[in-house]
Amino acid sequence: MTKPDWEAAMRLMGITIALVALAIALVQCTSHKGDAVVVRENARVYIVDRTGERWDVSEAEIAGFNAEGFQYGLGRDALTPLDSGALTNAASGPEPFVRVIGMASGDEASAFSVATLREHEVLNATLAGKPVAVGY
Amino acid sequence: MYSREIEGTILTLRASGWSYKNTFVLMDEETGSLWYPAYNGLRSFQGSNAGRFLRRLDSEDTTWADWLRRHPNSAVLR
Repeated sequence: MTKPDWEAAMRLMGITIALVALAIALVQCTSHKGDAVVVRENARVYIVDRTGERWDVSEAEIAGFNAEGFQYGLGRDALTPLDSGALTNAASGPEPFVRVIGMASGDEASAFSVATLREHEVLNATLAGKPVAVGY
Repeated sequence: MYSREIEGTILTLRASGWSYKNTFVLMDEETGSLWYPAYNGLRSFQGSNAGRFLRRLDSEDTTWADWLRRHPNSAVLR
């Protein structure tokens, strides 16, 4: 094999590897768009999460949701909701640049780190006498 | 931020472990009904609360430094 042939072969191999990697990435991306296992029986529709729990989504389909479109199915205990016990005083606050969601009413104010909310999905509290759910 | 009071009943929301269109699906612990963000609030689409609505409450999206400057006695989730 002459030097130009060898270089062409190496280029071809590089392109092939890149295309295979792209194909694998696309398949993985697609498989996470909606990975619910769907069971249809007796005119009801269920999705099955990773713990094996079946969730009835028959009404969801009537409301316009696509059962196959539900994602992840981590299980109802995978993420722990927070409550007001997770709140601390301002002196123990996060770094100044941390993004927060804030709610103020009268003299009462509370702020919630967006990053921490994402880890738990939701916090239940009573703020200024109102029961609220903070989610992000 | 949403009210979690509905027709005199206070709900406790938690993650269901599901997402839909990359947005969390929440559930209430009282009935197991599923909730999803809708215009100006959360709407239940499955369970005994299906069709009910939890309204969005006014809140601010800012930095802790900005919030603390205006609310020096604020409680905080760090």
